Amino acid sequence: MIRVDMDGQQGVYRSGPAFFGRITASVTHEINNVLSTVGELSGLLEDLVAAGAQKGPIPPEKLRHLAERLTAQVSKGTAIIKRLNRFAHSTDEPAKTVDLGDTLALVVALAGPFARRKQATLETHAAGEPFNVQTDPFLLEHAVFLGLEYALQSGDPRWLITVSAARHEQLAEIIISFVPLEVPAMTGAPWPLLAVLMRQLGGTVACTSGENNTHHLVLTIPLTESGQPTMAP
Amino acid sequence: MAEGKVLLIDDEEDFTGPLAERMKVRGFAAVTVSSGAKALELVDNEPFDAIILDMIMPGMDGMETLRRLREKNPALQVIMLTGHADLKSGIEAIKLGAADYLEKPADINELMKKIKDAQARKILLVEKRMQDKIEGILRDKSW
Repeated sequence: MIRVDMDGQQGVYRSGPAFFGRITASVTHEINNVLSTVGELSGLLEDLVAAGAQKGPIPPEKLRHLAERLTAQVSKGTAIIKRLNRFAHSTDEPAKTVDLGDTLALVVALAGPFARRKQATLETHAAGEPFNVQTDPFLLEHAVFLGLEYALQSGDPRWLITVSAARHEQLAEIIISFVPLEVPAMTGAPWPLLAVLMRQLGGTVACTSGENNTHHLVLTIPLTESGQPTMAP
Repeated sequence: MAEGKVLLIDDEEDFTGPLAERMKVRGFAAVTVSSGAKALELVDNEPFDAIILDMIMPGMDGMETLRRLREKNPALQVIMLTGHADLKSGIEAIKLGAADYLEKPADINELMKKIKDAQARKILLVEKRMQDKIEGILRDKSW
C-alpha cells in the first residue's frame, strides 16, 4: 500500500497543474523558435527587396527557396499548435474512450523536446490492431509522461527509448523500454507520484528487466471502467 | 571586406541560416554551428568579434557553453539569446560573463547594436592587454 503523507497529498494535488505547465512551457518555447525563424526569413526577404532597388531584381530561384522555407515553418508551427490544443482538451472530461495508440503518440511528441535536450530518441511502436481504453485522458498522459521522464533520466541516450501498447484480455499494457546507465532504483521521484496516478487510473506500474540490459517500465490499466473490452471502430 | 565576424551557436539551423545572411547584408561575416561542442573547437582557431549563443540546446546547453567559452578566453564577447528573458537566467548569464542577453525573436537592429558594442569592448580589452604587456616589458628592462 502506498502511504502518501500530507506533503505528498499536496504534491499529488499540484502535480497535474505542474505537468500542464511544463508541457505548455515546452510547447510555447517550440512555437517561439518557429516564430523567430519566420521572423528571420521574412526579414531576409525585406533585406533582399531593399537591396534589389540598387542591385536589380531578386532571382526567382532565391524567392522560391525562401517561400518554401516559410511554408515549412508554418507547417511545423501548425503541427505544434495542434498538439498543444489536443493536449489542452484532454482535460475536458475525466472519463473518455480514447485510442491508446494515438494517446501514446501524442505524449511521445510532447516529450520530444525533453528527449532532444538529453540527446535521446523516442519512438512509438504501433500495437497490432488499434484499440481503445476508457480512462481519464489527462491522468493517463501524465502517467506516461512520468514514465518517459524516468526513462530519460536513467536511460543511456545512445539507446532508443520505445513506447508500445499491448492488450491482454481486459487489460492494456503500456511498455516503455530503455537501456539504463545503471540499474534503476525504484525509490524517490517519480515512483510515489507514478504509483498514485496509476492507482487513480485503476492500474499498476512495474519495472522488469529483459535481454541485453533492456528495462521495461510497464503501466497496466483496465480497458474500461467496467472492465469490458472496447474495440476501435 | 567584412566589418566584423560573428559566431552563431544554435541547434535550430533553420534560424541561424537566414540570420547569418542578414548579418552579411549588414557587413558582418557569420559562421554558424549547431552545438556548444562545435563552438568550443572553433574559437581556438578563429577570432570572433561577438558570439551569439542560444540558451537551450541539446547536450551542452547555453549556460555550460558560456562557462566553457569564458574559461578558454575571458575576452570573448558572448550575447545570450533566450526564449524567455526571465530575470533569473539573465542574472546567471551575466554572472557567468555574458556581455548581454536578448529575448527571441530578436530585433535585428537591436542585435546588431549589441554586436557592435561587443566589438568595441573587445577592441578595448585587446588594447589594454597589449598596453599591459608593453608596460611589463618596460619594467623588466629596468632602464
